Amino acid sequence: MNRLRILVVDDDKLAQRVLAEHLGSHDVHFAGDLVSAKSALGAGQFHICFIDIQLGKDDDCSGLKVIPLAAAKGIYSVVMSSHDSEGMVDNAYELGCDDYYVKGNEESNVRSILGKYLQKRTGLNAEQIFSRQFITQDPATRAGILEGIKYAPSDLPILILGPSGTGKTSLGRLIHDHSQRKGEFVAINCSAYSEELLEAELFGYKKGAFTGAGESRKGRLAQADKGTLFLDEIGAMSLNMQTKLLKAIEERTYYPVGSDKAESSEFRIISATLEDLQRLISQGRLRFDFFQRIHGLTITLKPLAQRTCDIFPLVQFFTQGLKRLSFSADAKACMLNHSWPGNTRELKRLMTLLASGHEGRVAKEQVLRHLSQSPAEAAAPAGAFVGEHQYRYALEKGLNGAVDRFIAEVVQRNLAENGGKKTRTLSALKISTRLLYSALKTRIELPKTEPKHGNPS
Amino acid sequence: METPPELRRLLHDLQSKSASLKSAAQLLRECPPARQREMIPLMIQETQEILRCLSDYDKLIREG
Repeated sequence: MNRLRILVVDDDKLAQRVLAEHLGSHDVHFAGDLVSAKSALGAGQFHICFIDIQLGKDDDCSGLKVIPLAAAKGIYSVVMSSHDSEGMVDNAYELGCDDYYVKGNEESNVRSILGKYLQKRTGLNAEQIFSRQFITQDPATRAGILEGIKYAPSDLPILILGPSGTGKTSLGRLIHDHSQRKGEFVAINCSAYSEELLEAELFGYKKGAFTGAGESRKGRLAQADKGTLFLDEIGAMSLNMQTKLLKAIEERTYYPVGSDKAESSEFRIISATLEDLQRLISQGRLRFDFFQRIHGLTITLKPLAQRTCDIFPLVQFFTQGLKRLSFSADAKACMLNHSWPGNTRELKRLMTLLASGHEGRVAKEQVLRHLSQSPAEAAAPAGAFVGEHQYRYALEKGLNGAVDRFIAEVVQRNLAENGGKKTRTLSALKISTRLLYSALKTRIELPKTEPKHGNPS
Repeated sequence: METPPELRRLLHDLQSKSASLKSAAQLLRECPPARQREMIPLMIQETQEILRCLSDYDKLIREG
């Protein structure tokens, strides 16, 4: 991180010391009153100035006079005071301060201020992010990611929605990397564990807590102290586990399995899921208070089939350092029209297969052959009535939504094949008039790139 | 009823010093012993200031 020159204007020696600890390796200078603050500002240039408003026991808010002096020199001015009246806050902003914080949460506030300042100073290099860290040219996806990075230095919980393989974990890591948090990025897939195992994995356990617990072990919460805890497939977490984690989030303390001694951890939550969380709440599978705790900012990642502009930039990215490939026009069209049920992960697998093959020039047939063997495509058992595409649709929209769409598509197709004669459709499909009209009312929203082939169904 | 200015000032000092003390206490567990030894006298001094504020506040409200 860049070393910044920072002036702290505060008469309280302990407050000065606390800020000095949080500002770590930066070049920190102190002023305890207005005169020394003016002198310091006159003598040198600073990047950031932290200003307490009341400088001394009988002081008449002389810290306010420091704000315009610092602002006039282009210094990022941050008030940190115990004055929290609306009038005082308005006054400070009118005088030119950039941020106003009430004292009492220095660790988080200082990290957030430094993060925001550095983002502002260096500017977010969007091109570098989207060409190296999260490959996308899709404007909506880019906007969502930039929004996430903007909030990265804060403690705000972030919820990432999107189908499997769209890059939710990569985005979580990217946000962590821009957060200025000292701790680690710790990811866990909630669906990969039973309730008991998830508790042990998250909270850790003491020796002898259960059969097989031969040694005490720290959990992911402890690992994520001062860092980020990334909870993938959050919708798979049991209600009981949600209650325990909610308590840990609210109180910042938790009990390892088999321990009666509370442990603490300061972690930021980023969660991800492909499920509709509102639906889980209405089904009683997700606690509303838990949902409120995890969805400060929501970012939605679209399926790859809905951002086809990313396919070839991703191809280039995945084949870096490997054999370069050349795609025939129909191979390209085939890839653009594929439904990509496994999303980016499926594309990466395809590129690995193609780059490891004998041919550098890729024809449509090769693409089709590999895609038809892709695990995502093959996920539906042979002879299954419901293909992978329909299955994913049902997960995304709910079973009722998928059934409605199925009925509407069959009815509308049959009606078209019968030249619009409703009686023939009623007879062919053996359905009631009521169902026919209901199906005709259903508007079928086809994705922009409705698959023309490669659809596993 | 508006809080008299003197009480308001004492309340501000109380909040400010308590906030610094709390932040310092949170930092203690991460500091090496040498830095803890530097912080503790400042924390004791802050505690005495908090006691002084409380005592002044109490005196003022007793005087009405």
